[in-house]
Order: sequence, then C-alpha cells, then structure tokens
Amino acid sequence: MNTILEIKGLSKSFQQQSVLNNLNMSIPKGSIYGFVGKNGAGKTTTMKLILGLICADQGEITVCDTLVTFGNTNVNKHIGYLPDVPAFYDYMTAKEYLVLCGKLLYQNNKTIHQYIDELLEKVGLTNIKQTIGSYSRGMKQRLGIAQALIGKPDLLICDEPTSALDPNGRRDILSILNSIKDQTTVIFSTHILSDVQNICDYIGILDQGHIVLEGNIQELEKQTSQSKLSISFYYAKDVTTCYDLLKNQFTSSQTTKEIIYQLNDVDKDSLYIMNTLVNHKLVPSQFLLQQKTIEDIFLEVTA
Amino acid sequence: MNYFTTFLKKELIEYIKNYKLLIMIALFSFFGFLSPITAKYTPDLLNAFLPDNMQLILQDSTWIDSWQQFFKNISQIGLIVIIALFIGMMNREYQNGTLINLITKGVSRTSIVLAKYVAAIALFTASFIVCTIITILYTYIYFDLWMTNQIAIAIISMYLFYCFLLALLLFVSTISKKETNAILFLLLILLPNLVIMMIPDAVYYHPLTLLLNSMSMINQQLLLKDILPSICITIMLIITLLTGSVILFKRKEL
Repeated sequence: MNTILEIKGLSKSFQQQSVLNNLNMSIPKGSIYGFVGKNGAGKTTTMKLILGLICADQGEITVCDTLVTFGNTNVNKHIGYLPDVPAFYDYMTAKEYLVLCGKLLYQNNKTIHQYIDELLEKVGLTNIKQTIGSYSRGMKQRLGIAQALIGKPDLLICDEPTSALDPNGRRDILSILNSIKDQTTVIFSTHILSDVQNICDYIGILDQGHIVLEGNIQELEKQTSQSKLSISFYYAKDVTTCYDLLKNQFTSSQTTKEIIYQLNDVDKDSLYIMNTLVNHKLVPSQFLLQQKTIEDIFLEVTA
Repeated sequence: MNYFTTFLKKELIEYIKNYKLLIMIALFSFFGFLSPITAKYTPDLLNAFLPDNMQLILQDSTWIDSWQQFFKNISQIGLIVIIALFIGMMNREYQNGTLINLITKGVSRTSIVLAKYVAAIALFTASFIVCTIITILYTYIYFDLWMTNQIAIAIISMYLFYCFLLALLLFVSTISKKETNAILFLLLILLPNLVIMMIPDAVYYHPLTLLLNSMSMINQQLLLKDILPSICITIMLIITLLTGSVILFKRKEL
C-alpha cells in the first residue's frame, strides 16, 4: 500500500494526562480517511502533531516520506489544514485573504489570481465582496477549505469540518471534499458517522489514545456483516419449531415472535436458513438481514 | 525573505484597517501641538483664571518649557498608549487562532516575529517623527529655536527607549497566552526597575534613563558620554529580547 502519512508509536500527554498512547496509523495515498473518535479522544491533538504545531512525547510521523519535526514548518508545504473553527483576519475579503496565503506560498504570483478565482468558484464564494468578519459559519468553513487547498497540497487535514453546519452546508462541504479526492488525500475527523459512510474510503477509530479499528470501509462492512438475521413469525409455535431446527447450527436469541441469528457467512447461512424454512413449510412474516452500520461498529469498538 | 515581506505588508495593512495608524498619528500629532502651545499659553491661562485684583508673576516661557512638555507627554501618556496598542501583538493572534492557517503553510516563525517587530517600529517611528516635527516647528514659531545638540540627543534616546519597549512588549506578548498575563508580566519587569532607578549610579546603565532623564540631557547635566553605557545596554537588550522572542515562539505549542 502506497502511504502518504505514517504514524508510529506516537504518544502525547498534557499535564500528566495521557491523550495519545502508542498511536499507529497509516493513510493510503488518494483516499478519504475518516478519523473518528469520542470527544477528547485525541483527534485534534493528532492533527496538530502531524502539522508540527505541538511537540510529541514519543513516536514519529512521516508525511510524503519526510519526518515531521515540532516547530519546523517544511513538511507543511505538503499539507493543507482546515481547523475545526477556522480563524481569519476579519477586515479582509475572501480574495484578499487568499492572495495573502498565495503570496506566502508562491514566489511567482502572476498566476495566483487566476487560481484563486478558480478556488473561490469551487467553494461557492465568487463575487462576495463583504469582509470575512460578516461571514456565516458555513461561509468561513468554505473559505477554510479554499485556504487549505491553495498550496495544492498532497494531504488535506480537516478537523470536524461539518460539525457546526446545517444540512445544506454539510452537504456542500462533503461534496467539495469528494470532488478533490483525485488530486488530494483527505483526512477528515468527525462525529457524524453518516458523513464517514457517505464519502470516506478508509476509517480509523481512535479510542483511549490509540487506533482500535482501521481499514477499508467496504471491507470492514463485509467483515462485520457476519451480522444478524432477524426472522419473525405470525405464530409463537413457528418460532419454537424454527428455533429447534437450527439451534445446533447457529447462535441465536429468541423472543415470542422473533429469532435473531448470528451469521458468519451471510450468503451461505441465509440460504441455508431459507431452505430449512421452505422444507418445513414455515412462513416468516419478516426475513431481515441486519447489516452493521459504521455507527454500530463504532459503538462496539469504543464500548 | 518572501515570508518576511509578505507578513510585514499584512501587518502594515492591518494597522491601517484597525485604525492603529490613525490613532497613533492623531495622538502623537496632538502631543506635538500640545507641548509648545501649553508652554506658551500656560502663564496667560493661569492669569486669566485669577481674580481681577490678583496677578501671578511668572517668568516668560522658553523653548525649554516647550521641550519639557514634549518629553513629559511622550514619556507618560505616550507610554500608556504604546503599551495599550502593542501588548497584544502576538497573544491576540494566539487567542484568535489566526496564525494557525499561515504557519501550516510553511511560514517561518522567525519571519512572523521579526515582521511584527519591524511593523511596530515603523508605526511608532512614523508617529514619533510627526510629533517631533510638529514640536520643532511650533517651538521655532513661538520661541525662535530650531534645535540644539542636547535636544537631538534626548529625542534619539527617547526613540531608542521606545524601540526597547516594543521589543519588551513583543517578548511578553510572545510568552503569554492572554493580554492580562502579558500586562502582569510587563509590570513585574518594569516596577522593580523603577525602584532600581533610585540608586544614583543606575542612571548611567539603565534603559529607563533614556526615557526619564530627557531634561537632564537638555540641561547638560547628562552628556552623551554619560548615557552611552545606557544606550549600549539598551541596544543589547533589544537584540536579546528579539532573539528570546524568536526562540520562545519556535517552541510555542499552538
């Protein structure tokens, strides 16, 4: 796997309170990586460590094969960063702010203005002349994305970019992130697990200072879709019959009208159960495969 | 260099947009007018407020009174204005989080600190020059004196002290997360030094000499050779404070 970011054995404490404890993670190039964890799990700390804004107690971070060192900003040329609450100079307009960022990044600034216009169009802030001080939270978040992308980064780090936005704002931000995945790898921290499910290729779940689950979302869903099969019947006697027929093959739990089976191989096991029901002329009122969502997986691994 | 010039330009534009330039130029111009006018008309004003049957006999005002007012205004009200305007140089950016976006673009921290200092010096220099020129002009109009060597030494000494003060403000602002902490830290540095200034020999070696003894310089009680050690120590302290600010900012977790 071609990785853009590699973290090995990372630890960080604040006043003797351990936030990260031997954190290891790697982000594949060209992916959107959902970085998920409870409040205070250490997501923002991890991001700031990647950016060299705070000093690690232990461990190492490499971005584009370059070692990150605290206070040294060289690696940051590969990274774009969108903080959870992006802060700007309120007296500037969006274009003035992006010109400032562009001038800091590019020696030759002849082509900056054209690129800035493209970026403003991409984030939907074209023709807005008012100063940033009067922007809504959503507009600031869009400008935050534009400033993070201005350096054409290989890696874009977004710290909860959708958490304080209304549904329209959220949808817009997610669509912008989705549209850049071909050029830029995105790390995206969030509490909103449906957002991860919608746009991320990979997920890493951070709990108690280290990654408790990491991998390709589709594969994780497949692996965890050993899942459950819920079969309901109109009559209680059918429940008992079905239970007796299959009790030696599957782990199950039972109520008066429903049996829930734990499946290991979804296709094979479902077919077997269906055949058994047909052979014994048992008609279910409901036959429901319950696949695990990212939220189920999250709750399970962080419980 | 690109980082430095770009950030410096941003700082200067910020001074215009948040009215710091306007406030500084207006206040220092006011001091510039106020000093010679106060010296000239204070005796007349005092007499005007006395009852008709009384008259206050005062010596005629001279150019010395005009410059005395100048140094008093700049060293008292000027000092408070400078502290109020520049105490948040760095920590206001920490609190607002506005440096994060720029630092994460690879901007060197040294450039940020130095650009902040140079911009503050530029703003102060412009205001101080305007104030001094106005005082020189009106002192000439009212008292028929352009300049003496001793006045020039006192003016340059005071300017140097303010360069030192701005370096000190940058330093306390860099190490403090909040403006209140920076003010406390500044007071902890300044107050003991005011006590030290009571020691007779301290006058020759202390930066505060450049601020507090302007009239002794004009009256030739203190000559250039007397304050030379203070000047050298002040320059060394400016360099030390700037170096310290850069080192501490590089180690600062944001």
